Amino acid sequence: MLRLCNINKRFALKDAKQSNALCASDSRVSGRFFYALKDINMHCQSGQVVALLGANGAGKTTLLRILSTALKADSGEIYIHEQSVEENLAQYRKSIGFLSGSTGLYARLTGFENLKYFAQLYGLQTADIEPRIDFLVKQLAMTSFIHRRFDDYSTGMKQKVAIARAVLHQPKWVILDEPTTGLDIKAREVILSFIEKLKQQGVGVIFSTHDLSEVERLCEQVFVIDQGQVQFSGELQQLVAQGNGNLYQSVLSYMEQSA
Amino acid sequence: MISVIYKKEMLELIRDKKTLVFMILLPLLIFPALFGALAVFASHSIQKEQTRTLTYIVTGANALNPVLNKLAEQTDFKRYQGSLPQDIQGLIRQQKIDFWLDVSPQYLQEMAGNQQSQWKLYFNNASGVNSAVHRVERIIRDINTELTEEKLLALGIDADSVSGVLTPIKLVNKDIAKAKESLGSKLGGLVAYILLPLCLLGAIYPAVDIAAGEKERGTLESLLITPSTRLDLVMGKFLTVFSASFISAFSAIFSLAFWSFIFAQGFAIEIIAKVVGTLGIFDLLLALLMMLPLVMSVSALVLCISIYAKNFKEAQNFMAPLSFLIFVPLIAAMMPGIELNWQWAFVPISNVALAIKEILKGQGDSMLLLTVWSSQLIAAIALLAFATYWFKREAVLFRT
Repeated sequence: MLRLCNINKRFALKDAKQSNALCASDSRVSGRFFYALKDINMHCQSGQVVALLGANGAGKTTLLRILSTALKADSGEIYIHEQSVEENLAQYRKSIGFLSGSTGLYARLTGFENLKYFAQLYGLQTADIEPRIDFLVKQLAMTSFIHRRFDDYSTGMKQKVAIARAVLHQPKWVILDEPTTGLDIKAREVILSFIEKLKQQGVGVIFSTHDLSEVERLCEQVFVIDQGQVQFSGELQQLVAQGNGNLYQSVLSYMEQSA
Repeated sequence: MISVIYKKEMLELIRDKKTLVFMILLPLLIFPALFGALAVFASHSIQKEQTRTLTYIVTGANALNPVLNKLAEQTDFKRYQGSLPQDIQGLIRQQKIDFWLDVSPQYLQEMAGNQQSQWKLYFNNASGVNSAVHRVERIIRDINTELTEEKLLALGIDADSVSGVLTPIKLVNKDIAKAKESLGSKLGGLVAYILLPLCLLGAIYPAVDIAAGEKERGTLESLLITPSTRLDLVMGKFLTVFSASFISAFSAIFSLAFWSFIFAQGFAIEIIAKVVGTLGIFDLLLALLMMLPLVMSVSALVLCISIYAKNFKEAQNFMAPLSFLIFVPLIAAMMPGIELNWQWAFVPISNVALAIKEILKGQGDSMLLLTVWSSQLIAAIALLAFATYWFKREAVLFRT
């Protein structure tokens, strides 16, 4: 189980001018700081697919970046199987895979070289690296392009390699920031099917999205975030029921509540 | 883990054409080709000017004046054949003649009365390479010597005493400095002056690419969430920048030796052959060893700057003043009379330039050299520690 307790995160603003400009439009600005997340509490069960919903700028990406350890929370704790992440950072990093908004891969390397590099960084044994890459290449239909330079790839190809990078080391949890944004139907289907396979393998997936059909297809649990705070947390059916069977209306109502 | 990061960074660098140009091509081919071409061009221009036929006009000299015969004897002097215009200087401006020698009309009377005769030499040296003055002065000097000897003989002084009368005391200079010492002193400062900017040039682009560039391309985040420690990441990147910088410097030394050989053989530029022969390969290697911690410091410094920069453009803006800053201590080390001592041993960059000077002179004090080497190494380690500290700071890594 992954548990987040009272996570807070603020960012220092550049100067008073920026502070004044933002202050008028966003209630999360106070003094020289932008309070991106306030008292976030979450429980995610292992093997479940969890959706993170919210408007642009709600705080979803910041929360996912904290979960990935790219950012550090100002206060609060993350626990994995009731063990503090802070105290077992290297171990935690091995147990999660993260796909950020950008693909986060190297343009001058081939897809294969990118995957091999990250496999080495995650400490995979040399003998295990190539079979593991081969497996993922087949799973994500990357055979035709994996040995080409990454900067020659289409958006869909890049996203497939990026997802392969996130799951290369067989993490227990996979964190995906809008994994299907900008993809064509075919590439999107490959990725959604892959998330389903991860779920079948007992891997927990936390992902942010604006596409509610993906939520209905994949998720058991949903969190709606707005203005840096969790507005709803619970089962997907519960959320649907609150909107009288209309997920869209229900999610929108939580966003409007805080507006 | 450091080796994995290092190998990947090097692979990426090698695949980048811009890096190859700055790291290999510039020091190996372009700089020497430019300097070599410049040397050959200058050498040819001077040689051409010194051997070309000069057209002249002499006025005021009667048939007994020795200058007419002397000029006529020269194969590379030609008397102007046209009619003499009113404005002879105009002929010089129109480049129809190279010089006009206006001899005093009272020359014979002046000689007879042991008086000095003043002649005027008109020429145009706007280009700065006109050799007329030197070549005419040489002829006049010969005439002066002959006339002086004749006059002294006429005064009853025999030929053996002429030099004693003309120059009672002759100072014979005996410089006991060895050729190596003298050349090392002249070129020692110059070696660092040439090599360090090359090191910097070799380090800047990779540093910008692998730190600020990673931020801009969004690859840094993927790296930060791996189990690798920040120290591993910084060390991997540092070694890449250091290698690029050192390869750049090494390429420069190699190409300097190679092209010197080519030019010395092919174009007989004596000075280059003399430099290579006098300094020797061992001292060049020792100079390279002295550069090692300095290159480390420079690499760590540019990496620090690049880590701090938000993006590629900002990193390049930060690097520009750095190029100027390193020249100040380098120029200080090239000043005449500045030598390596215990004060200078702790002045970054200057100390290495001065140490190289001492090495090339063959006079290095081993304690001083070791101090310079270690102080520069400590500076490099401190900068590296600072780079690691910055690589742990979210406010630096995700500056907006």
